This record gives sequence, structure tokens and C-alpha cells, in this order.
Amino acid sequence: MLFWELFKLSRQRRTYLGLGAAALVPIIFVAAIEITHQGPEAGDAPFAAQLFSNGLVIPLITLAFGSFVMLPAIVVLVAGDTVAGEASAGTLKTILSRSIGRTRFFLVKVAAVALYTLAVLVVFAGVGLLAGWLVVGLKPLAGPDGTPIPVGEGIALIWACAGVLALPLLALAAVVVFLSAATHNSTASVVGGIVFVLLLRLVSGLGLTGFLDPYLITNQFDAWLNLLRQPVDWPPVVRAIWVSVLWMVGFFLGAWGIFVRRDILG
Amino acid sequence: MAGKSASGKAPLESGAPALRLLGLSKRFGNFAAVERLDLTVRKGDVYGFLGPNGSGKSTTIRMILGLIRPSAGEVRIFDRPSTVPGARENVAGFVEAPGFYEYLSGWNNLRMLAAADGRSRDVASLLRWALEIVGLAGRANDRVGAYSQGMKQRLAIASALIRQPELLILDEPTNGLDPAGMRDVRDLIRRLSAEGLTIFLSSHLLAEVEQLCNRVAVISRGRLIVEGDLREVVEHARGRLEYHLVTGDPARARQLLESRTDAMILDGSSEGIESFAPQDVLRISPGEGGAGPVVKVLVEEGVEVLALVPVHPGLEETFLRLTED
Ligand SMILES: Nc1ncnc2c1ncn2[C@@H]1O[C@H](COP(=O)(O)OP(=O)(O)OP(=O)(O)O)[C@@H](O)[C@H]1O
Ligand SMILES: [Mg+2]
Repeated sequence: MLFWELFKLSRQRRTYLGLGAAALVPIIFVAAIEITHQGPEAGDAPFAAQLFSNGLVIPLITLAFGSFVMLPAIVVLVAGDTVAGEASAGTLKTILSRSIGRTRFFLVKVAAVALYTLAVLVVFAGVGLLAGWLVVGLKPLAGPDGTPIPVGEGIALIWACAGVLALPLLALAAVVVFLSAATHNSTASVVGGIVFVLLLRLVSGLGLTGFLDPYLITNQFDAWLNLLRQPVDWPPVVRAIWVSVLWMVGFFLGAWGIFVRRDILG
Repeated sequence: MAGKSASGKAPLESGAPALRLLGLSKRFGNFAAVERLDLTVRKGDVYGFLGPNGSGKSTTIRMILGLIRPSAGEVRIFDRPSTVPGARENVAGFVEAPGFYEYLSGWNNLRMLAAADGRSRDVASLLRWALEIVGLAGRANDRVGAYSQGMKQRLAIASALIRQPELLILDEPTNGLDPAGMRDVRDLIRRLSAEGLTIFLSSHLLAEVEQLCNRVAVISRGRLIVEGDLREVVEHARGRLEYHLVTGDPARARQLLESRTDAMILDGSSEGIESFAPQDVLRISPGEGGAGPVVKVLVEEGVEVLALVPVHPGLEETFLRLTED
């Protein structure tokens, strides 16, 4: 069934909207800095000073940019449609009239969303790395304290960063799958997911969240930046991991509870 | 049916009803869409589930298929509560307008549904068989989004058939079909029934149910009005006959019938009878003794009786009588 779930994703336009954006943004970014020879100021983005001399910096800067709104938005776009899209197309009643149990079908859908989320990250970081290599070229990275980081380690570091970013993105996907199962409305889930991200960013930015602030899912989107310090600043990374897992599990269980009970109308 | 013995399904205890609804109820908020519905579908029945729009047919079918939870009561399938895992293994069907993945071909839709049934062997031949039966074999590779409503309806039937069920649940299966399509589907239902399938089908057309079904239940506003053999139900609904009466002196006849018999003169002009003017035709519903006393009085008083024709209420009329309060 997972095969069919991925097959369905592969035949839908919104899938390519997300993957296409994830592939295009790094390309546009590289093209822009090649043409204008302008980039972020040093301090605004990781390793910004080496932007024009080292392609390894490209995926890190695009990740820093993408993790703010773009990647969450792409994830929300597909996650919001999981249950709701099938409910409104009337296919949910068709498939749930078959032998497959509701729990099993739910697991398959969730697995497909998770794979999609990972695919978006891989494409985003991978295209950035590829573009950086082809256009700027790769060489050892000068670390923040001057220690050089060899190219191989630099690439591993990029993927580690993407991996740490994957967890809060998956947690966000769980939140939006929950909305999708609860509302059976695709648009409401997508809009709700994006409003959720912006709202948490806003109340956190205004300092209204108090002691809860370190546990907001949106504040885990930047935790991977701590991997780039020398030495690595582990506590925020570790916190991002368990906080993301808690959000993920909580909303996943909530969505599952709703999905297996809910009346299938429409 | 193809491959039945290979499906490994446990033999069913014979004699058990295929489907029973016991006190089945569904409320949406304060609104009772289905209320304490009891009915029994025996094996081999083609069972008509008849009711006007909004009477609760689809809601009942959703409960049978496990898509919504009853507020009260129980669905029993081959004598097992539907809540037992696997109770619906021998059931297939659909509710309302069938929902398919419009961006996939009919063939891929069916392949995916077969996968959802856990079927992996001989899928292609099963699909070809089902598509052949519903007459969609030539269009299987087109996107469902490009299908007409009637083609989607046929695909829905094919999707039910590939479960190789023993009990088929069809919600208004001829909805949206042209007359030829309706005839095809009705022929198919007869054929499947002849092969031993039990079929439960909803309809708001008494004529359709009369053509296909041996048993029928009529619901209105979520409640069962009557259940039984088709003939009994139809006779019950038709009740007393109505007559069209033509005499040489309609005014006198009306006055005599009103004063001397317990016959009722029905209002509204009739369609008329051939070769008589509509205003000369009286619609009457004779009393206890039937038409005899009416004729006797008229003849005794010298009113010429030119015609007395019994009229069966049409099927539509019968249906309305059944479902109206
Ligand atoms: N989700 C819902 N919420 C509230 N009321 C509902 C819901 N679904 C159905 N109903 C109501 O329940 C009643 C029965 O609806 P149902 O769809 O079962 O009728 P039906 O007999 O299938 O009608 P039709 O011939 O039009 O298909 C209707 O009055 C309908 O408005
Ligand atoms: Mg209906």
C-alpha cells in the first residue's frame, strides 16, 4: 500500500509544486549571487564571508533561509491534504470500504508524508550542494575559530544539519496531519498549518511565550545552526531532538485517534 | 465466480441471514436520520431498499459498510456483529456517487483497491474480468477524471466485484445512467443474483425495485414503513381499487351515489377514458360492497351506465402512498 500511496503522490501536481520549489530556490539563489555579486552580510547567515569562494556555503545559507518559512510551508502543503484531500474527493469512503484497516491506512499515509518531507530536504540541500560545487567549487571550509574543515567533513556536516532540521519539520507535518484528520478540509489544514507557524513565530518574537519558548516547535527550526559552532553547542540540538519527537508523537497519536473513530461522510 | 474457491474464505453456516439490521439508529446532532431500523436480508435475496430523497438510505448503507458508527443498534453480517474484525470480508459495495482518484486511470484505481483488499495474486485477470462485465474494458487506461458519470458508476460496480463478495451493497446503482446503461446494470444484477450473490440495493424508483427484487423494505424519514415480499408490499400499498364511471347523466349519478351508497366521489378530473369527455367521467372509490351496489342503484333509478373501469394506481402513486403520512 505504501507503494500506491507514493504512486498517488507522484501523480499529483501539489507534490511537484513543493519538490520543484525545493529544487528551484537554491538554483535561483546561486544564479542571483553570480549575477549581482551580492549576498547576505557576514553574521546574517552561516559562513557568509566565504559565500563567493566556497560552494559548501551555498546549501548552508539556503537551509538557513528555507528553514524560516519555505520548507515548513512546503511540508504543510502536502501534509494538509493527506486525509482531507481524500475525504473531499470521496475516495476515503471508497478505500475504507475495503479490507484495509483504518489504522493501517493511516500509517501508510503518515509514512508517505514523512518520506515526502525527507525528500524535500534531500532535494533542497542536494541541489544547493550540487549548484555550489558546479558554480563556485568546493574547498575546505574555514571554521568559525579558524580551524579548517575538510570538504568531506563539510558535506557530512551539511547532511547532519539537514537531519536535525528534519525532526521539527516532521513534527510540523504531524500537527498538520492532525488538522487534516480533524477538519477533513484541505484548505483549512494548509492555511491553519501556515498560520500556526507564523503565529508561534510572532508570539515568540514578541516575548509572550515565557518559559514555554524553548519548547515551541518553531523554535527548533534553527537548532541545527548550533552544529556549525566550534565546538558544537549540543544542548539546543539535543533539546530540538526530544522536543520535536514529543510534538510528533503527541499529534500523531491525536490524529490517529480521530482518524479511526471519525464518521466518513461526503 | 472466478477464483472463489481459491479465496480461502471460511464456509458460511447455511441458513444464517446475509444481513440483519437490529434497532439501527443514527442521529446527527438532534436530527434522527435513521431510527430503530430492523430488517433481515436472507441469502439469495435481491433486496430493495426503497425510500424518497433524504429518507436515510445512504446513511443506513454507510453504517452497513462501516463508514459511520451507529448511534444505537447493530449490523449483523452473516450472523456476526459487524464490529468483529473481518466481519465485512464477504461484503462489497459503495455509497452515493462513487469516489475514485480522478488523476489515475480506471485500471490503476482498481489495482490500488485490490491492494487495499490485500490481494496480490491474479490481480490482472480479476480486473479484466470485472471490467469486461461492466463494459469498461476498452476505457480502462483512461483517467477516471475523463469518465462520464455512468462510466464511474460502472467502475464502482467493477470495484465491488473484484472483492468477490457474497453480499453486494449498492446505493442507487442506476443513478446517472442512460436507459441503455440502466438496462445493462439491471441485467447484471439479475445475472449476479442468478450466480448466487445476495444483493441489497437502494432506490427511489419503485419500478426498478419491482423489476429486480424479491423482497423490499420501504423507509421514510428514517423509519421503516413496511418490509416483506415485493408482491405483498405492493398489494398492501395499493389498497382498495378506484373506478372511473361514465353514465348518461353524471349530475344525477353523483347525487344518487352520495345519498344512496357509501361510495366516495374523488375530486380532480381523471385522465378520462377513451371516447368520453373528461367532464362526464366520475372517479369513485366504492364502499364496503365494491362496485356492485353502485351499479345496482344507478340501474334501479334508470341512469344509464356506459362504462365502469377499475383503475390501478400507478407505481408512483403507490410509492407516494407508502411514504407519505
Ligand atoms: N452529516 C450529516 N449531518 C447532518 N444531517 C445529515 C448528514 N448526512 C445526512 N444527513 C441527513 O440525514 C437524512 C438522510 O440522508 P441520506 O443521505 O441517508 O438520505 P437518502 O435516503 O440516501 O437520500 P437520497 O435519495 O437523496 O440519496 C437527510 O435528511 C440528510 O439531510
Ligand atoms: Mg442517498
